[in-house]
Amino acid sequence: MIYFGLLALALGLGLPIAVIGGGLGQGKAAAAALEGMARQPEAIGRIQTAMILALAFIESLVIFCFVFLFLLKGSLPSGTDEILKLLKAGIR
Amino acid sequence: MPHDQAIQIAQAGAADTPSRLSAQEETGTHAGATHASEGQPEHEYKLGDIPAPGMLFANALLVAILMVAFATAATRKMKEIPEGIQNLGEFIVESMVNFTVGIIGPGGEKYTPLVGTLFFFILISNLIANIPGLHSPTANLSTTLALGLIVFFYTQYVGIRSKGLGGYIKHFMGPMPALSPLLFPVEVISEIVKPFTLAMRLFGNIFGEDTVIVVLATLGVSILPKIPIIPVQFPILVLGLLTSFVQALVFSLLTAIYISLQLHHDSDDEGHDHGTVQGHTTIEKSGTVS
Repeated sequence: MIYFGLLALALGLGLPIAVIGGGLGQGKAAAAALEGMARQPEAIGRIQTAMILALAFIESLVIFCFVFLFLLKGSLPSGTDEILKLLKAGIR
Repeated sequence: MPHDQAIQIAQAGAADTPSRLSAQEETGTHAGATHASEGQPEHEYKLGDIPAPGMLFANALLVAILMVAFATAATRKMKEIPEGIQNLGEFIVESMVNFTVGIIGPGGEKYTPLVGTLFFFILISNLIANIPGLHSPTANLSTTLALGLIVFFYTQYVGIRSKGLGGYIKHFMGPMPALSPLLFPVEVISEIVKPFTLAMRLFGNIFGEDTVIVVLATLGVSILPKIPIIPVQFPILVLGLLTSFVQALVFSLLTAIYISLQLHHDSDDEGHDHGTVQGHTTIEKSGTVS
């Protein structure tokens, strides 16, 4: 049960931590891109493309975490019936 | 029983909207249940498992048929002055040629078929799930991994053909011969990882978007059961249109950059930066991104 509890905690807390990191990174990238656009309005098209690419790269790291969440989710007991069965079987 | 009901609610809620995920979700929870209770997995759900192989293949085939039908219709009665569907076809081909040439440089027209086909296959695959009853083939790791492997083998082929086998192996060695034992494994691993990151990025984005839609649809149903339709997931659907385009763009852009990395290799250590910077600066010429 402790194992499943820790797994559930990891599932719940893993993605928010990844989102914090990804959000900070994307905010930095977007801030720099906006500053560049304000300084040089004629280069908006180029900056926007590069920014979208950079944001996609940063986002993909968070997405990897999301995919791992789904990998781990399969090994968690689903529903109260399963947990009761596991408790009866004497799994701690 | 509770989670069976939850699945039914999810399916009912997602029935009027593109429920790309419900089948996959159902397989996942059921398999997890059997696995946890009996300890001997009969059909354990793994990531990238095909929930319904026929469905997945049929949807991918539908996308391919759509593309071929469009190409045939656009090139059937070609005229000097294009009109109608031929005009659209020429616009698409021209913008893809500009896109590829902008990244790879002169001589990049040769790689337009691959890059352009990948772009439109992924774009249509992502968007097709907005039609009720259809699933997007790219929300499955099998499809995206297949696309990534195509890119991987093709870039290796391009590298060997353009530099010769010796030059191809030499490009893994790095700039200094003394450092080559250190750099060789790093370069090989970074080359092998490329198709997997391509596949995971595309799959994760599309699959994640579908998951969010299913969760929000379930929420909309469970808050007020008396009212049948509350489209809580509608903003995500609109966001999904943008994500579909951006992910298709990123996939084809990275394909073109990988090809250009294998083609031009003047100075070894600057090769990566060179290719990327060139990619950034020249896309806007093509006008595909505003």
